[in-house]
Amino acid sequence: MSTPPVVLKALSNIYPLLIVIDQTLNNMLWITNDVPHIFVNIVFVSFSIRFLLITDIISVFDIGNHSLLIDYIGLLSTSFYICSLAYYIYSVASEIQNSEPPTADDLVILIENVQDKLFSVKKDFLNLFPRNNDYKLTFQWITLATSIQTLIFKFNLIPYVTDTTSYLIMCFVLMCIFHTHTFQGVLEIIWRLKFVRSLYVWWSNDNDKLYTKRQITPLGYFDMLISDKSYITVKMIIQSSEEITQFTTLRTRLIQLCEAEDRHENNTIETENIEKTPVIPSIEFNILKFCIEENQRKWNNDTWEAQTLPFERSNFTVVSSCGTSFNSDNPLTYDKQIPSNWIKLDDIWHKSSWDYCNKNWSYIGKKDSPECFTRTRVWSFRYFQKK
Amino acid sequence: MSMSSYFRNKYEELLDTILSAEELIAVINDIEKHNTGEQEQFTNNIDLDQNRDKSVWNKELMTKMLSSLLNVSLTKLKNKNELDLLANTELNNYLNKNQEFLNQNNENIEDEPFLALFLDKLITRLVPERLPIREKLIIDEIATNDLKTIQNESEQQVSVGILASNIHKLSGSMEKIFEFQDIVIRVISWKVPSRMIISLLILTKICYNPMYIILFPLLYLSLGIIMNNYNAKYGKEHLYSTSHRGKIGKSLFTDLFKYDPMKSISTHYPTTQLSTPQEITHGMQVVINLRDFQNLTTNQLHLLESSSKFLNETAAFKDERRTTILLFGILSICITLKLLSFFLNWSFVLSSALWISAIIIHPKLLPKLKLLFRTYHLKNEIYQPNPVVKDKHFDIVLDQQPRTHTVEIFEIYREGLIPTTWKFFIFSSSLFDPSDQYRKSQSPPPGVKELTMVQPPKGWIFDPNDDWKIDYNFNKWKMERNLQVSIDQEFLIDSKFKRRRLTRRVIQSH
Repeated sequence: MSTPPVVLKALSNIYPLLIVIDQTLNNMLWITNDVPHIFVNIVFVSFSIRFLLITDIISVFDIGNHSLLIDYIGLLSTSFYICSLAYYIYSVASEIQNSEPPTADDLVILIENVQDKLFSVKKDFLNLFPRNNDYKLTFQWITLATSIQTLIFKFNLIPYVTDTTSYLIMCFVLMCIFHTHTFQGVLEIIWRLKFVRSLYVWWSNDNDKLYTKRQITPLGYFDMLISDKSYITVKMIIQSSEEITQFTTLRTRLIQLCEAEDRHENNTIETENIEKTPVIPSIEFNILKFCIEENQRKWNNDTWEAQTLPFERSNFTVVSSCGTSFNSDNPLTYDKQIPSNWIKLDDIWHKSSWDYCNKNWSYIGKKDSPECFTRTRVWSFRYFQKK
Repeated sequence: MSMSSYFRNKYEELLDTILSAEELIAVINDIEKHNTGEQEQFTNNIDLDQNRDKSVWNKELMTKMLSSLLNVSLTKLKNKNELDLLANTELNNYLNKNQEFLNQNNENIEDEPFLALFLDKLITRLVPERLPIREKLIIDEIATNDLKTIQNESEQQVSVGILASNIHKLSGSMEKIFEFQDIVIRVISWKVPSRMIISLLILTKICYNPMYIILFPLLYLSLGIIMNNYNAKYGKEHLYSTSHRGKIGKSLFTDLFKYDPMKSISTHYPTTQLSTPQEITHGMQVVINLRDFQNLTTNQLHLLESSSKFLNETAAFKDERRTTILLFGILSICITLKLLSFFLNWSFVLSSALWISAIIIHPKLLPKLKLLFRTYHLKNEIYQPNPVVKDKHFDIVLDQQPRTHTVEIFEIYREGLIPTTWKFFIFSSSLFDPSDQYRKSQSPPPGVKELTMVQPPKGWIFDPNDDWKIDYNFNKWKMERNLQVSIDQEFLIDSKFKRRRLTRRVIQSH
């Protein structure tokens, strides 16, 4: 790695500035051993903001006025912080002058630090607006913020915040404490509340994309499958009379055929080959396959429950051929509602193994781990009918 | 096998002899008690009572110690014997490596060391009666189940083992308390100025609104402790590399307010002499905790001592003048404060007092203030070359009538060999009538032979202007005591003894 000497020179010239920026970011992100110090700073800077924004003229004779003391503290802290700032900058400058010039390593480390810190500031801020990509939502946020501020000023929504000064102080304090671990942690914990999430989803209209709130009945699903023609047709070559007279034999034959068909679907060339085989006496059957997804969410104590969040897919869902999913009934109620001209091919519902997903239902793996919060599996059942 | 059974027989013989020895000691103990009681018949001084008690106490202690020592060794041996038997009967199990049960037993015995066992026995012997039960805020489940006896027993037991283990556990958890103490002291001595100012701010807030007494701890619990634990579990770790240069730039705040004793030391001593941080081992930690614990208890004792001194001397009319002045001082402070409260903003006064005192005790400021104060004093003393010694005060009149009382004593005569001849027997506070317990036990009542040896009650003195008077109003004190005896002049006579009542005035002294 070779850096042009000109760049190095330029960087070493702004080294003091970088140090000051780094220190400011440190204070902003509370990366310090002396956390109470920042807190003290916040309190007294608030006093000086109050002092600097005083609109009325202070009357010395108005001693009974309680705010006089606070104004005095404000004056003190303002002068102190101006001195302190000057002192700090002076000490930085003098220390750099008195010590050896910074090496390239020093510069790189410092710049990396500043970049990292700026990055985490950005990340913390963007965390406030999860999955915020469209302009509509930004507009919504701005509208909300404006109305909240109007409420604050018109109706004193927040006690103590009555005028511009106190509002500014509040903003300053909020800005200062925003990056603390505590504040961030509190935000995260607030995000744990189901109520808050529902509210946010309602507000941002940002729910589970695959899911529509519509409910589909078993018969509806059946009709959908028929109209989509998503059943498969198999041609059974009759090898013996038993196959037609004995129900169980017919069933096993059909299951075999069905599985063969499933396999061929993957390999279309083979299917074509089979279709070209000479005609032998045969019967065609329609085989209909119900596929219902069962969804579960992990709740506290690592237990899997059928209960899912109100704005996401429900316990049982059905995915149509065009990709939209519907809420569905429990599969066990299906067999009562299917028209009688369809005959059950399977004895019981076949359940696939669980697919474990993260909290947003994206697939992680076949095995449960602490980062898995949802899981889904497919229940399937087949019906058949003579074509 | 024959050898082992032989040894066991020997063993049991030994146990028997020890048992009998212990019984013997108990008998000796009783005899000695009796003897000491009889010997005292001849020493008739009341004052000697205490000494007698002491000597008896020592002897009893000795015998009790001895017997408990024997008892302990007995228990130990018995336990071992049981173990031996157990080992024989469970030999097969033992061979089959089913050692768990045995091991457990072993542990049980070895858990209680000889000394602890001995001390336990000693305690139970020294305190055979039931100990007084302490008041309890939360009643035990046992007590509610009408099993009071069990509760009593469990409360009464003093076990050295439990005590030692408690102290051991306590010394472990005391570490946190001492750390907290360290933090508090560090804050108060302005070594961490930001914390000091934060605490001052919090206290000021509390002064202005006492509601914060509830709010701040709750906030600390939620945002401080719970959120800290949350962040420890889920929080993101920010890892920023630091350059070898260290921190550049100085903070005015720290430079101005921080008190760093190391700085002042390092100017006098070379830095190499400063103790390097060394690794604290577990053993060292225990010792440190013990030292801290010791210091803590010493400090607490000092505190208790001074407070009890204040309560029992300064506030209890030990020095009449001081206590009177103290009372008036406190009352006048109360009145002035109450009167001032109409004109003062208490929140402001309290908070400013807090801030001012905090600033005054700042270690950088305090020496300078002291110096200033001293120079001021010196100046004053120069102008007063002969300071008037104000040792005598004539402002408080102490002429209270002390409490007075009359004490009584009985002069007891014994019937001589010839009836109606009486011989002086004893001066006693006991009446020594037929229903008297000393009379019943046929031992003389506590008393003295001479009237001058009679002592006044504690805290009282005999009125020097008064002498012992014979109570001629015998009917009255006979009636008061409901005595069934005949009267001869001022004497009350029964079968063998006659007595008269002497009274004398006593005055309360301090």
